[in-house]
Amino acid sequence: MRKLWPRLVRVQSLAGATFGLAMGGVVLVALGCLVPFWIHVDYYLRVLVYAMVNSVIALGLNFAVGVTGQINLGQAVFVGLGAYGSAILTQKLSAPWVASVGTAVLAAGIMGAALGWISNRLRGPYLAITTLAMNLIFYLVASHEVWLTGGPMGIRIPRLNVPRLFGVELDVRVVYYVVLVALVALFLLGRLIYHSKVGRAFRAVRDDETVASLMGVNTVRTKMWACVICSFYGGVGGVLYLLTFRFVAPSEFTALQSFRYLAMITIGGLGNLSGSILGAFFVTTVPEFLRVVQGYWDVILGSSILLILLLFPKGLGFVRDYLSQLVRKKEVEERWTGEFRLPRAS
Amino acid sequence: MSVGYAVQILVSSLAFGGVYTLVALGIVFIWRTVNVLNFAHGHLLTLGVYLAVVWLLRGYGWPIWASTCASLAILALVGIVFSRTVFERLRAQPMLSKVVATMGLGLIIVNAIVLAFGPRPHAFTGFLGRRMLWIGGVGILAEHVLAFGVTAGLLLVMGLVLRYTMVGKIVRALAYSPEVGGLMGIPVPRYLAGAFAFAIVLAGIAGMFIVPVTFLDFTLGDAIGYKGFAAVVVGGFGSIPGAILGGYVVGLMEGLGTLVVGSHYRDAVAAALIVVVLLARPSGLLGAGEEERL
Amino acid sequence: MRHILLGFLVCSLVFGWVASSAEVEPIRIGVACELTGTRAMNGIDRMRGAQMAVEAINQAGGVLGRPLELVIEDTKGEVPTAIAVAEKFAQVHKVCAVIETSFSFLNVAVHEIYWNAGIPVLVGGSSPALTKFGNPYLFRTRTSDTITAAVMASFAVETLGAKRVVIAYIMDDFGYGARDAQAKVLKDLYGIEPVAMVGIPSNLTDATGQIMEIAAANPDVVIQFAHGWESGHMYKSRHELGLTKIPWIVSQGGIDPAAIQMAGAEAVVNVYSVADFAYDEPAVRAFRQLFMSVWGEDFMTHESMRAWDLVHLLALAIEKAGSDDPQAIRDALVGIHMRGIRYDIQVREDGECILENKVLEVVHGETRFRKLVRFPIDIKL
Repeated sequence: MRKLWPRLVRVQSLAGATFGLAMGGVVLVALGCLVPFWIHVDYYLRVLVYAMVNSVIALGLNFAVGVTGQINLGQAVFVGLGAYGSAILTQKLSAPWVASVGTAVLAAGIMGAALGWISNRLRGPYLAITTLAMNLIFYLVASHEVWLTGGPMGIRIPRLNVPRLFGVELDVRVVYYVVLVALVALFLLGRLIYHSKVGRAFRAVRDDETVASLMGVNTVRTKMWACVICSFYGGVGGVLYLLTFRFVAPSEFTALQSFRYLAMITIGGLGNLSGSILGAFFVTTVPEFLRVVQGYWDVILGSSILLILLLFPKGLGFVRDYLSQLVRKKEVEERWTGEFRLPRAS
Repeated sequence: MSVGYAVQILVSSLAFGGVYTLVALGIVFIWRTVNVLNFAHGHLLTLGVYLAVVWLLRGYGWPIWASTCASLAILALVGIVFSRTVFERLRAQPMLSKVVATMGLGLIIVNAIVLAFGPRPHAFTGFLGRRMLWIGGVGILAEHVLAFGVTAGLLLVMGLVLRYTMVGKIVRALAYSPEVGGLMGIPVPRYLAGAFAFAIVLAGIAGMFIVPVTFLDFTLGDAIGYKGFAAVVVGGFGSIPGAILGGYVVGLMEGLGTLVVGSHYRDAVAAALIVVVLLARPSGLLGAGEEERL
Repeated sequence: MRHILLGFLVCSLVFGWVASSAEVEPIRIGVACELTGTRAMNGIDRMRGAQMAVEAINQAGGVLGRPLELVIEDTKGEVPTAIAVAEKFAQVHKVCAVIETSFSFLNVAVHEIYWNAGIPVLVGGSSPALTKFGNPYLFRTRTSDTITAAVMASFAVETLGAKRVVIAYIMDDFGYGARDAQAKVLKDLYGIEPVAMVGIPSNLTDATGQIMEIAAANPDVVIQFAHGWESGHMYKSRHELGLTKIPWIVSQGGIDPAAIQMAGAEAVVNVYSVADFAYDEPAVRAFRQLFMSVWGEDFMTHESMRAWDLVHLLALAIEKAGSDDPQAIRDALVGIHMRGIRYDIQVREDGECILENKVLEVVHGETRFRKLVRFPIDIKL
């Protein structure tokens, strides 16, 4: 037992977490597993599932935007590719689910690689505008090419065509566990990548591309990988979205939706993976559970983004740092240099 | 398709192009000075037109010229306040934070418009109504001629001010480098706020000319802001002559695109232009790399 | 201090519960409204119309001696929120019936939730596909697109005696869809092929070319699908080129007040439309007056009248069923025949409720009711 201890700790530190944090995570996941036994109304459960789906999407976006510093205003395109891809393949072509899902995620990944290639030619504002244009084109194609996408009416998955997992129909209770498993797996994968050599290259490119390439980082390949990870998470999120709602329509893949994903990672903190989940839950569940504010929600969302940017410019995910900053100032500053570029001297 | 029809499309495209030019100029101005992509630009434009047309003109019966001036003043005030509170504090942050801040501002504006004025669309026939000018048997909307004239006049005045006055020199210096400008004793925040406000006022003027064509609707800002970005990209990012050229190119391409591919992909013309230009010639038509300044 | 506050809170909750349970329990009806987002106009009107109807019914003593209560939820006009709202109605609020939006894609997204829960849902989407899902709880309370196209065709051919029809359409998804549906109905019902189809680019600034193209085809009737701006230009050029003798049947966008204002009322003559309502119908006029007196402004869409009608329809069904059990209400709904503000509502087993539409004429810039075209109950939809 005494020998096992350090080894466990080492395994944990591979994923970059202290033992206490990891334990906290395990408790959270265990609680998450118990939620469906506690909540008997599908409605509440589906809101939670949607928040988890958005968490997956936001996690991916954070890799491109927060960790690698490549602005992406078109995350909804990858989500749309995942969702539309699997919907079209299974409903219009009657392809089996596993193959369709694989193809759809692959399509999203290829699109991501293309974006990565573009991001090597274009920087900052150019890339931002290109992704925005990409989103608009996707929306127009999805709403006008009726033969393929069903047009504004979208594609619905009838009850009979819903996939089965080990013989169990994927109703919202089962989907909850599917999404939970996916989220936990993708989160751990994300942490592994973040703390691996590739992850360090990501952050190096974000902080200073020239210095990174001088240090021997292949910036071209690094940016490509960041975009592929971003689109892969987005595509998986799209598939999960389809499983959750069994319906896709173009109105869900607009630039506004992409902006909401950006809002999630900004609220959670750029570059902070667990912050993305926090942000996704905030943006998804608050308007649903605080319906008294319904008419004012978008104003509240906009204002809270501005407030968070002004008060905690690094996002709520770094709240632990703010707190410990009050206690031990110096140590935190050292931590931050690793997380974020130093403020430019002005 | 008669020659007259083609001429009419040409004229209306030029009028549209002038409007896009004003929007694009504002975006470039903000990019060069405050160093942020202003995604609230189209929404601020919408806000200006709502204030002028729905609030002052329809609500209080002000004459159209007075209400336009008043709404432009309010827009400038909004710009100054936002710049002094938000941009000032975010100056040291990465660009993304500022971009998200402008998007948050856009979200607030759009929904505030709905809460204040309701979701009903409004028709506004413009300053000159539907008066036509007949030149050589070709009918041209007088409003389009006015839009063209005002745009050209504004561009001329702006060019002169930037080149020959002290304010112009200071703004150019700031566009070159705010840090150095600060070292030279320029009150940087004040001038940045001024530049931001000026850019928004340009958008407000553009809005007054675009609304007679598109109807006034709270979602207008998305489409217009977007065309502005397309114009900026086509002309070469950050280049002011480029933005002017880009505005007209986008306007003309839309006119032609409507004839060629049908109008259901009209909005895609701008998007396709962005992608094609960025892939073929990322520096745009007139952008000559990073050294090129105002 | 905190304890006192907490105690106060608990007491007020308990008393509130006791007090409310002592009264007669209200009958709860769900209304899904898009109160925010780009589609807000429809949702706000729907909410207001439903509130007016409930107010009126409750003042008259309610239904079965119980008051009606509306549960209004904002769907933002987005799929995930609309689905969440539908589930909330079914599982949390446990309403006895739901009035849903008029956007077909949202209707498609949510209808299965009501099917599973066994709650009658009154949708307003006009897509023909809606009643073909076999959902026994879904009722369409608006004219199907097929019937609207058929009404246009019958008015053109039977009333106006047209043989040469031109279809002018705006070149976007709405225009293409409407053009194809109209051409199919003309062929199926009367065996007529349009002599020409003329595309109208959106945001055009002059429609002379289009009108000349139409004149060259020498039509008896022109059927036009366009939005407000383009319709205005079409009217203007039509007037200038002297084509006002040819009857023009236009879609909803053509009777947009802004379009008529653009061309001038004197240019918009011999123009007909097939639409939900005309402002000169007595019932519409009375409702409009009531609406203005309650809300202080005019309604924006027909949704207010639809919601008013549907609350009354549900009241009838609850009265007929004798209980607020969703299944009983569903069974009671079928067969009800009610005179609504805009339509005769006749609920059929297959979910279709409205089998008629109206022909309007534009006179002095305002729409006037001309003719009601009803379809026999056995028409193949």
